[in-house]
Amino acid sequence: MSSIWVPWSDRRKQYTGLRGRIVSCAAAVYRIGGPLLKRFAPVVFFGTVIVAIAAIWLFATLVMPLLHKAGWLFVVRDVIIAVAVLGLVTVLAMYCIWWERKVAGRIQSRLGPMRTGGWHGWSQSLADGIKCITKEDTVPDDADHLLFRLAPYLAFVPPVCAFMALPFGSSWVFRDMDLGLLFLLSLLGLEIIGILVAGWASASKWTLLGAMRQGCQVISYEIPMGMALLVPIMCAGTLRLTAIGDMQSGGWFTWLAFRNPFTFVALFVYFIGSLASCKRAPFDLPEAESELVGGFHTEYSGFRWAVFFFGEYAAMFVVSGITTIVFLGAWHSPLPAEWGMALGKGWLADAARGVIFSGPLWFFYKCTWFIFTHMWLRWTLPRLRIDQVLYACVQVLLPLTMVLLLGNTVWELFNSPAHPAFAGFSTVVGYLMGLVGAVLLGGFLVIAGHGWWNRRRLVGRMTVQALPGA
Amino acid sequence: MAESTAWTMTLLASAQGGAGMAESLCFWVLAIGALAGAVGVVISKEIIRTAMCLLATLVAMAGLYFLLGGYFLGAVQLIVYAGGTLVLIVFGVMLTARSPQVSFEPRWFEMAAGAVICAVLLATLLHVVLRTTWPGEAGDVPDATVAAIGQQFLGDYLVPFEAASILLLVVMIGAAFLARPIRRDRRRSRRNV
Repeated sequence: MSSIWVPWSDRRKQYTGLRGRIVSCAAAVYRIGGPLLKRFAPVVFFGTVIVAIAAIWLFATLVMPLLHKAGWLFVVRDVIIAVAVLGLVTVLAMYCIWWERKVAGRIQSRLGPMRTGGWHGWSQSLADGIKCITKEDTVPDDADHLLFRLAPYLAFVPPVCAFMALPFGSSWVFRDMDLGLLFLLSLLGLEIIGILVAGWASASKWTLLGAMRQGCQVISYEIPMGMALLVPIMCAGTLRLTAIGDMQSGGWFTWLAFRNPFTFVALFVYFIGSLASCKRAPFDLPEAESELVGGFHTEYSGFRWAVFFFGEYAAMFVVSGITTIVFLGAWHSPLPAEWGMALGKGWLADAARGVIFSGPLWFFYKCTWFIFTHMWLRWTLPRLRIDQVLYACVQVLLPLTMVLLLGNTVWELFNSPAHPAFAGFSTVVGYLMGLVGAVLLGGFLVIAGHGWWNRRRLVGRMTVQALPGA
Repeated sequence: MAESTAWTMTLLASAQGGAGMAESLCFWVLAIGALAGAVGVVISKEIIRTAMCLLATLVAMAGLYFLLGGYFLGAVQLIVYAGGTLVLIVFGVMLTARSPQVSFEPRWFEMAAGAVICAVLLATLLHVVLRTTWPGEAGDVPDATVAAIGQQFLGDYLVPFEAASILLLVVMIGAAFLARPIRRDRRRSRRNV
């Protein structure tokens, strides 16, 4: 009898008594509320936004003075900001995953997620998240249960903590530390422990191989990455991220990447190293799907598996943020910030300055641009072998960064008012570097635009007819 | 502008009660975490769990440094010990362990020797802690310490700094020597010649 397959719909558990009443109530709410929610989705959305703003205003005017009297204001503020950072990271990771799938689809002549939620499958990640939460949480029998459960959080917490010291603007930072960059690097270096432990605790060959590759790769790439960062830091003379960012307020040509040839090359070295440290292709050996099943997260399922990806995307954003701040003008637009003074005073001028000249929006644009570049490279380049990865690090990038460090030291030594001839030469070279960078960015935009305008040809006529919004 | 300054001042003034309590809460959480991790290092028999307990201790110590305002020390603790040394330990275990679950089973004389060493160390530390007269009030912690530390390293303490760097260089050369590829064919050919 038990061997006869029973359809899932008939296996539904029947609840009785109080439980039954709760279940029927929930079902009734869903039956009535679901269609209503669907019908009035924009109203619900904007209503929620308005209610949230009103709640913040009420909190600021009514609750905060009380807290202030009780002496708990800072504590409550810190808790709120910590929760907000967690929310930001989660939403960011969710939308990066959706975006990555769309980019991957376009590059492979597909559409990517199109159904869930309506417009371009915008809620695909949300649905995936719900799926991950409701999936069975499996732990292999031979695994070290405690460490297996702990590992995802070890991989997730450090990149989230890094947001604590990552400035989004000159005053948009939770804790502006004197050693901000060192603090970020120390937290990013901790992420690997979670992955090593995950690979070990799963008690599987594939996971262990993935973890070992990750260990080799991240430890070796930390050295050229750190030394590549030293090059612009030597020019800036501080580790305080807000100070580094505000040094570059004078437009495109004052960005540290275009200061001299050495910082310009260091930008690319750091970018390659950051690809490797975030285990993005072509350095995605730790989770090489075609070789190691899923690499270090082979044995994970459900939400624990998703936590690894939250950590990965958070680390991608932090690494892109570091690149942006240290090399590419932080939260400043390519236009000099002084031009913004011409806009005058008032909140409208402030808002315009924030949008056009410098503000968190620009930081966000640049970070997302870097994340997009990561995605583009991931779906374009083939995976390297582990010996190629280590060869590239130890025999190419490491000597190169040493040359960059020494060259930059000499350059900056002579680039001073005491040597006017060399200082003038350095200025000219800086402008040349800026032009080269502009040409490279232009080429990037032309190639990306070519792909974008020809996307319908890539997708195919039948799909376009069936899905006119594609 | 004046309003915002006044608001900041009142904010700073309000930091006493709640922030003080939060600070002591942080201290107790971190201190208990560090001690529990240290006990775990001694008790746990699996080497990876030992390493994880060590991680808890190191990170909690870094947290204590941050709480004290020693940001540089905290960050260096995280980079060098938690992110570097510990990863190397875990990595070494993975490379060298034969079975997935290696466990410690110390013999009685090992335990006795350990106990004696620990007792002597504890007695020394207690002696020092109890005999020292501690300053009553903590001084102000400077916010910007990196530049000062760098100038000290390359100024007053240049010789120890360079000595340490030479030591590290020697270690690196030794590691490279140990890990060098052994080219047997060439040796044989030389011998034959």
